[in-house]
Amino acid sequence: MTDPLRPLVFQILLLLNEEETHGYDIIKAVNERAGRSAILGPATLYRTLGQMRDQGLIHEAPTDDDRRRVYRLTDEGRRIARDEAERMADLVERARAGQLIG
Amino acid sequence: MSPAARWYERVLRLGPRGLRREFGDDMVATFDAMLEDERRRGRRMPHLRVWGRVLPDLLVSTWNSMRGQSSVYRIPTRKIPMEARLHDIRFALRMMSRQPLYTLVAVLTVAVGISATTSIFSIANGLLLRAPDGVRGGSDLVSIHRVAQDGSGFHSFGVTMFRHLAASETGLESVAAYDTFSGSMVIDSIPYRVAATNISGNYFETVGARPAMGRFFHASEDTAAGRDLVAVISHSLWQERFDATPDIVGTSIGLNGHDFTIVGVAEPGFSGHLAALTNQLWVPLSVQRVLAGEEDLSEEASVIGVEVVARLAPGSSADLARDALDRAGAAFHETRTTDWWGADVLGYAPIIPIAREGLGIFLAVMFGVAGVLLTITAVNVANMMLARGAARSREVGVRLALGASRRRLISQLLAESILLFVAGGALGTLLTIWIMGALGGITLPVPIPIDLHFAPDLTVLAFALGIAAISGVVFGLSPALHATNGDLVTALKDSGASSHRRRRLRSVLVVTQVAGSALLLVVAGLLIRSAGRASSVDVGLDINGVYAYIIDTRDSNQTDAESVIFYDDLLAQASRLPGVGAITAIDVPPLTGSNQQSSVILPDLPPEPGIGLRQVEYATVAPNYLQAMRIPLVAGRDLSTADTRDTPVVVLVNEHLARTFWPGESAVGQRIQFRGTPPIDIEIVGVMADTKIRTPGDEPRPLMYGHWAQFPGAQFTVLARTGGGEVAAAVRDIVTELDPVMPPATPILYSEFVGLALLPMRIAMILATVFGAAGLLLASIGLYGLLAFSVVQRSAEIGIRVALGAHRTAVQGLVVREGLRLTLVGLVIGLAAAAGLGQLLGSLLFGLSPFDPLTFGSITVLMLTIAGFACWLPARRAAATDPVNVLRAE
Repeated sequence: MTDPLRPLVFQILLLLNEEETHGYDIIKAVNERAGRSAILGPATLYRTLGQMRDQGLIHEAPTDDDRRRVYRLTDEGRRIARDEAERMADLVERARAGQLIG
Repeated sequence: MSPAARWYERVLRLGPRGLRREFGDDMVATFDAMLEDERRRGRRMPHLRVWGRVLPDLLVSTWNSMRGQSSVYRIPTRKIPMEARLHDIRFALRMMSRQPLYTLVAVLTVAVGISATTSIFSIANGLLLRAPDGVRGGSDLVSIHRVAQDGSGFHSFGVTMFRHLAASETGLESVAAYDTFSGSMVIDSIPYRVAATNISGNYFETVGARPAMGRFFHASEDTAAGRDLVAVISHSLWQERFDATPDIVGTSIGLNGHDFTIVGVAEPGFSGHLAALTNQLWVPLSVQRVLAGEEDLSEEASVIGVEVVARLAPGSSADLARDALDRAGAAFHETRTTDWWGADVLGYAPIIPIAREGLGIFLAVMFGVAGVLLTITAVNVANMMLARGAARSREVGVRLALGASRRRLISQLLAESILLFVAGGALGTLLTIWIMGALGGITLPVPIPIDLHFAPDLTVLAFALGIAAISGVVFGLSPALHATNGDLVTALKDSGASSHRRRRLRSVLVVTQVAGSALLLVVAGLLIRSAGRASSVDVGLDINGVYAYIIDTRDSNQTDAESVIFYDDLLAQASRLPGVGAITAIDVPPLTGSNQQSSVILPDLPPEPGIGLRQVEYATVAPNYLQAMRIPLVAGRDLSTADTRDTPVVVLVNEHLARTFWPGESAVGQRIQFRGTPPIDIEIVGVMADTKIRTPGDEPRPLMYGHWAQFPGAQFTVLARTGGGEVAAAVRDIVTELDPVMPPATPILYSEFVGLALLPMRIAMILATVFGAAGLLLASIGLYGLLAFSVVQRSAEIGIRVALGAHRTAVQGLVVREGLRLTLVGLVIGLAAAAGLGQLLGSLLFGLSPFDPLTFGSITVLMLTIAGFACWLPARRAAATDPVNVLRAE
C-alpha cells in the first residue's frame, strides 16, 4: 500500500485513465468537476504534471500537434491510482458500516 | 500569441525557473486558450477573469516550489503553529505600543493612501459594478444599443424597431425598453417635479424588481395607446409624498395634465436599474405619445427613441445575442425604410450607458492617481520600518545567534508590517465612509434628483483590507528580508556592509517617492492649467449674473400653440420686471456639455462621402437671443419677432459654418434644406460671431440657430440676466402665475450650470493637487531622512576630509550631489510616466498639450528647489563636522 496521494494528482490520474489528453483539457475538466470553488491554473497544473512524470506516473504520448503535449498513464501510474481508489473505497466502506452514510 | 499572453510570458519569469524552461510554452498556450474560452462564453471582462486566476496560481505555485514541496504524495507540511502566529501578533502589538508615535504616524500615512484608492473604488463599484437595490441577477443583464452609420454606438431605438427586436428570436429571455423623463405630478393641486420613466410592460420582470404593493403593468397596458393611464410609484415617493397611506393602490394622481391610476408600489430601495438616477414613477411605454401631447397615438408614428435593457436566456451569450439581433434588425430593415447598421450588446453597468466610456477613463485616471499616492505612502512606511530595522539589527542578530530560524523572524517582522497596514486600512475605510457621506450630501444644480451616495459595501471593505494586507506584505517584505539578512558578525557589530545595502534600498525607495510625486504634480499642474484656460477662455457670450430656468410645457399638457403663447407671455412679463437686465430662451443651452445635431442638405455643395448630409450643431432660440447673451452679429440681420410661422423659415449661422461651407463668399442669403420628409427650405439671414458650444474648451464647430416661432418646442431653458434685485424668485413666480399646474421652475445660476460640465476636471484637479502635495512632502521627508542618515554614517569619512583641508562648500557639495542625483533619477522616471498618463487625460485638458512645457518645466524647478532644501539641511550639518570630535569618537 502506498501513501495517500495529493487530491489533484489523483484527479489527474482518474482523468488520464479515461483518455489521454493535454494540459488545458485537464484544467477544464478538474475545474468543472470541482464546481466553482476550485480554480486550478496553469502554473500549479504543469508543476504537478512535471512531478508526476518525474515519479513515473505519466509520460508524454507521441502526437501530431507539436503545440501541445498529450499525457498518458504509465502502468505504474495506473497501479498507484488503483491503490488510491481502493484505499478510498475502504474508507467509504467503513463510513457505511458505521452508518455515517447509507 | 496574443499581447496578453506575451505579458503572461513576461510574468512567468518571476516564477520558478525550471517550470518556465520546461513548460513555459504550454503554459502560455493554455493562457491563450483560457482567454479564448472566456471570450467565447461572452463573459464580461475576460482579461480580468483570466488574470485573476493565473496570477494567484503562479504565486501559490512559486511559494510551493520555494518550500521545496515536490512530491505527488500528501505530506504533512511544516506549518508555523497557530500559537506561534498568535505570539507573533501579540509581539507585534507590544512592539507597536512601545513606540506609539511611530505607530500613529505609520497608521495615519497608510490610512491616507488606502482611503484614496478605496474612495475611487467605491465610486467605481457604485457606478460600474454593483447593481442598485432591487435589481436581481445583474450578471445576466445586458444593455443593447443601436450602432449608427458612422460606426458610433450608444444610439437609442425607435419604438417599432424595439417591438420587432423584442418579438424576434434572439437568445434573450426578455427585452425591455425605457425612456426617462422629468414630469410634473400634481397632488392636492400642488405640482411637484418627478423623475419618471416610460417602460415596456416587462421592464420590472427583466431587471428582477418586485412590487411591495399592488402589481406592475399588464401586457395590454403596455401596447394599448392611451386607453389605460396607469402608473407604478417608488417606495420612497409613496412614503414622502403620500405619507405611506396603505390604500394607495387605485388612487388617482395628475401627471403632466393627465389623470393616472396608481396600480402598484415598487419594493423598498428600488429606483430603477440605473445608479445615481433616482427614478420615482413609472408609466407604460404606450403613454409616451399621450404625455408628449401628440394626436396620433399609434406607435408607428412615434419618433421618440427608447433605451433597451435585456436579460440573457440561460446558455446564451452577448455575442450570440448580437448576431441574432443583427439578423433581426436587417430583416426589419428590408421591410421598412429605417436605417440599420447593427446593434451593440454590452454587459450591464449601472451608469447611464452613454456616460460609460467617459466615466471608465475618468475613473481609471483617478484610480491611477490614487494608486500612486498609495505607493508613496506605503514606501514612506517601508522607509520607516527600514530605519527601525536598522535600530533593531542588534536584537535580530542576537536572536539569530541564539538559534531563531530566519523564517520565524521574517514571519514576525511581517506580522508587524501587516498589522500596521491593516490598522491603516481599517482607519482608511472609516475615512472612506466619511468621504462618501460627504459626497452623498452634495446637491448638484440639475433639475432631476441625482443620488451620489455610494455607501461602501462588503466588496469595498474587502477591497480596502485586501489592498492593505497586500501592501503590508509587499512593502514589509524587503525591510524584513533586509533586517534578517547578512551574517551575524556584521549584524552584531552594525558595521559598513549591511548599512551600505540598507542605504541602497532606501535610495530606491526615495527615487520611487520622487517619481510618484513628480507624476502626480505634473498631472495636477496640467489640470490646473486647463482649469485656468477653461475659466479664462473667451466663450464668446456673456453668462455673468445669468439665471437659468429649465421649463417643459409638457408638464402641464400644453399644446404646441399654447406653448408658444406661454413662452411669449413669460418673456414679455419677465422683461418688465425691474431687476431683469435681459431675458431670452434656448432649447439646448450652450457650455453645459450637452448638444444637439441636425442634418442639412446644401444644394450647391457635394454631399460628404458615405454620409450625404452635413452635420451641424443646432439649437432653437428666442428672437432676442444674440442681443441678450451679447453675441456680436457679424453680417446680415438678427432673428426678429416679425419672423413667424407664416413667413419664410430663417436661421442664423456662426462664422465657422459660413467659412466652412462658403469660403470667400457671404453666407447671408444662402439657401439650404433641413433633412425631413419633405425637406424644409431655409434661408440664412445672419452670421454671428463664433461662440463655444458644448464646453468652454470646445473646438470651433458649425452652428445654426432657428427661430422658436418657426420650430416650436416644449422644453426651453429661459435665461434671465440680473440688473440687480430679486430676479431669481420673481421669474419663478411669473411661471407659476401663467400656469399653476407647472411645477416651480428652480433658478440655477448659469455659471454653476456650466461648472457642472467642468466638474470631472475640477475633481481630478483637486485630487491630483492634494495627493501630489502630500506626495512631495513625504518624498522630501524621505530624502532628508536618507541624507541625514548618510551624513551620520559617513561622519568619520567627512571628518577626515575636513581634517585634510577639504573646504566646507566641498563637503556640502558632496551631500547635496548625492541627494540631487537621486532626485534627478526620480524626476526623469516620474516625468516620463506623466507624459504617458497625460495622453489618457485628453478630454479633461481642454486643448492643452499633455506635454505642456510650462507645466513640466515648473514642476521640475519646484521639485529641485524643495529637494535642494531637503539636501541642504543635512549638508550644513556635515559641513559643521568637527574633525577632532569625530576622530576621537572613532
